[in-house]
Amino acid sequence: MKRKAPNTPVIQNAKQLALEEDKVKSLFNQKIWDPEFREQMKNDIANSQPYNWGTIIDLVDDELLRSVRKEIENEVHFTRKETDIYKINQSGDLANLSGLDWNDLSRLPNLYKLRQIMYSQQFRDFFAYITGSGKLSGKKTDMSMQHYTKGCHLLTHDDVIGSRRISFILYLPEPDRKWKSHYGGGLRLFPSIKENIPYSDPSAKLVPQFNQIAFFKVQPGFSFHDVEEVRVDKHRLSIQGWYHIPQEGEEGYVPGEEEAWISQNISTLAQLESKTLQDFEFPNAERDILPFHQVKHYENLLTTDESELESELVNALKLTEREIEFLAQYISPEYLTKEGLASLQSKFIENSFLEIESFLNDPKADLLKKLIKHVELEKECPMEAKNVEAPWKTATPSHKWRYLYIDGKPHEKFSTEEDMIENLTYEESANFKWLKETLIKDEKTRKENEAEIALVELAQFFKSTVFKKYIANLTLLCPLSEKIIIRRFRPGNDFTLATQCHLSEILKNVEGFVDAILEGTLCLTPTGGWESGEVGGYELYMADEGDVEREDTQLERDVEDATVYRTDDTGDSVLLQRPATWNSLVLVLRDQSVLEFVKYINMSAESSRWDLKLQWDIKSMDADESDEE
Amino acid sequence: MAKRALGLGQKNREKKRKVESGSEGGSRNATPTVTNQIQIELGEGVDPDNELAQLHGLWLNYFKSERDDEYMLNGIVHECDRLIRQAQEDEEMAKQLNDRFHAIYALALSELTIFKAAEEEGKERKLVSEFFGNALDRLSYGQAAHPDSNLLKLVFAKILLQRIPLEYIFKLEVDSEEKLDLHQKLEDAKKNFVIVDSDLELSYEVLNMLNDLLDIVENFGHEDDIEEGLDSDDEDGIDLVELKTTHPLYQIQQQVPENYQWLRSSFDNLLESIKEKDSELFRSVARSIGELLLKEAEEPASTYLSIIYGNEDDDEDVEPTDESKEAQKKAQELTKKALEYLEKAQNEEDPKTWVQVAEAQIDLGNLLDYQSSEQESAYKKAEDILRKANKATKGKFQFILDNLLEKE
Repeated sequence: MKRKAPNTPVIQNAKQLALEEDKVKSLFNQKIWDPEFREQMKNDIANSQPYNWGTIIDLVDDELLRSVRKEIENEVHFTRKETDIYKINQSGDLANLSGLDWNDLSRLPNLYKLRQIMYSQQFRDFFAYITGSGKLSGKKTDMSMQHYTKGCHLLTHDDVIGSRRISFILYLPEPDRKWKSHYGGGLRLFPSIKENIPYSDPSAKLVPQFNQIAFFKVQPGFSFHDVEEVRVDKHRLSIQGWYHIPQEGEEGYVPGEEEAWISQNISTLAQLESKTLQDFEFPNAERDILPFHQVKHYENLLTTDESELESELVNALKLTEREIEFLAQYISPEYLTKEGLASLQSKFIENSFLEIESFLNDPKADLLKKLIKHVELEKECPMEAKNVEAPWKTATPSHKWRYLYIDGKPHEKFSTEEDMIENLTYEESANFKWLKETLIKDEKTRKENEAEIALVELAQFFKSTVFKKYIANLTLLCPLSEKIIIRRFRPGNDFTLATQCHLSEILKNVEGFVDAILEGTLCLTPTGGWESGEVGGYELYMADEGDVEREDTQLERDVEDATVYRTDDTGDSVLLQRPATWNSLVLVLRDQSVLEFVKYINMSAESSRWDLKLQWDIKSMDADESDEE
Repeated sequence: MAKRALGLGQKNREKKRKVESGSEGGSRNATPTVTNQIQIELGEGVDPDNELAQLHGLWLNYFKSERDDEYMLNGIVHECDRLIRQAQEDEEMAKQLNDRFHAIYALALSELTIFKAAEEEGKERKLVSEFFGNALDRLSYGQAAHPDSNLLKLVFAKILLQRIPLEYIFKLEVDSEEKLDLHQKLEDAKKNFVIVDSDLELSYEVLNMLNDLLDIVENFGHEDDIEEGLDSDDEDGIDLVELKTTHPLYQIQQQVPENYQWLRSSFDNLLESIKEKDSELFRSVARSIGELLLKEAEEPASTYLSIIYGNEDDDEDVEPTDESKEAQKKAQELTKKALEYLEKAQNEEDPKTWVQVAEAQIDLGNLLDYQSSEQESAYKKAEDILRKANKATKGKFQFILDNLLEKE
């Protein structure tokens, strides 16, 4: 998804009244003008981990900042915005303040003053010095306000947009009260395994206090950070801003520098979509191609007329009694009758999607529910990738997704680029049968892994030829490849960002190949409270409406780019939104213009979201498919 | 057939194009979706063709829902209107309009006030007032026809308790002096409150409304502090705002403790009336009682703790005084009793309910003698519960556990 550049920054009018140097200096904490402090800061930032960042406590004049907070409380209207990457209450754009009329300006004089000093020559010089960023623009100002309340969050991103050099966040939670770590809302910084591949776990966290600033150098592919979810009913107000590369006419302006920087960033972005970097995404987007002899079965099934059916086949289902018995192990009986299947078939053909409630039969559903609930309530759940044990793995990189999964491949745990390369060298196909055996080494492990074993058995069932025959029959599409992943999205941790699907490059020349994938999600979330979407966890399919250049897809992630789909409930871009539920299968024929994501699960959700994600490349057996008519 | 292979996104674009060019006419509405049809579940043995049974089913549907569907409420009101018109021409129908019918009509009108309040700007809530007025009118018709109906009495209490905050307190300031008879309205509500065995959930809801009302009165004037977000771990509660004797809330504020007593004993009666001890309703009522007991324990607990541990600068042991001993005893009694109820309120699948027990154990531990074995046992119980709850909730209560372990 293309994330638009923000409406900021704004080029300031040179006629703006500048504050006198002494006045500017007096509105900051005097320690920052002390050469010793500056040297110390410079040194700390140069040596900081995971990348160059720093923080200063009590940055500006206390009285000024308190007045700013009051003005914001009284005068600024915040609107709740929610996309795949954040939930925030956001104001308009601060850079436009100087463009307001006097009447409006008089409403926010302190905020205006704050912006003046933050972009003053003196402070910019201080900042450029301690961060080693090079000169910073005073003309191109770029600020906005965020108001995080309970449940608000901003997922991992690197802040790279346009000519930004430094990002800063000035915090304004309630003065006179300490903001505690367990309130959430911390700024967390992520180290990277390699460029553009941030780790799943952050390595630094800043708990924001009133009048504290945090800042870092914008480093494409490295400066990954997030804002952890606010967990309490408190107001975490902050002013976020950026310093840009000097503009024409400013000190430090280098002709062509900004253009070169931007084009370098774009090429970095292009890389992120490239095959090389897709190699470092787990679970991998590729689907396993099905054996030819298997595909033949589906072809036969789809091309045989009812009149030609052999006698042992049950009419319309085009399956033998034995095959139906096999399916009945898992699937509810109502979907295994002629009428049941016909009804599903017509709905799917009409809409290109279908939701099947109570898909698994009662005995299997009851058993799975019991086992999953047991895991939720009784077993320790690892929240950091470093603690995740087989058979579970952590989906990486964290600016794309984070969740636990089982994909039927050997266990992998990535600490270095070498680990990832080794994994590529010895890449294996999914093998749930083998995986199940590893879980049943003895009675003890069988008992410990009861839920996982049941889920792996379910994955085996979905991989079976008979199940694919059922799917072929239901959708009238012939599967060519497949992928099955068992997923668990933990509260306060997990999500996927919106992505398009990739069609198989190898299969696309197959006759009848459909430019879409068939995707199924069997949601197995055993708790309630998801219906309203307030705690996240819903799966959303949306139309990517912009004419997007592929290299920018899902990369320019930032706060201001508003892919807002929830402010308008009738929003045309939402094609399908389903809350986490128990035992419902959603089938979607998804073309490349469709984006899909699972919204970040709030800490207050009653449990993890559990599901199985199924994907197939498909072809149509309809001879008329390519005809003009 | 080619239509079939269109993906969801392509299909959407095609539909849009057709709608824009008008070639598909009104086909956008041609496919009914599940969401715009209401399914009503009727109880066993209920005649599905009976219009009153359908109306009751529809009301229950709303009552048990998230209550965010104004259309559904309007539908109920329209249906009530229709049945009344029918009853004017049809004697058989007139006979069928029982107290439940009138109760549903009045309840639906009173529930609509919530949506009207959200629509109205400013301090005058004319529509809210009008709808409450209509609801009470409807109720008085019903009561005239069914003077002995307990259900209608309960609904009367509900409307009064809902109206006090939504229409009156909403517009009050700390210096208001308007004469609103709020105290009398509250007393009328209490007088009419009755537990209706067939409507235990509604009975519980009415008591909860009183609970909320008392909370609003206690916090009156502190709305800004609350807006900022109070510290969950802040040990200082909020003091009552001092109101003039002429303030409409003065009398209610003076009688907050008595009202809480009345509320607790009503919750107790309700708990007795619930036959299914394993129901969510039973647990909820038990939880409400436990919470009220803990609230009552706050004052003596704070007296005891401030005498014994109040002076942080002084390392020397403080000898208990008569006052501290009495406060300790009272607070302990109330907390122990609260624990009994909170234990009954536990749901094995809901860790929040375990944590309530753990927090009450910590409260009890704080009230027991310093480093006594009883104190350690209470803290240990709390610790075990918190560990279990953290496991189940991915660490949601870790900070409570950390605080506890610091204490030990």
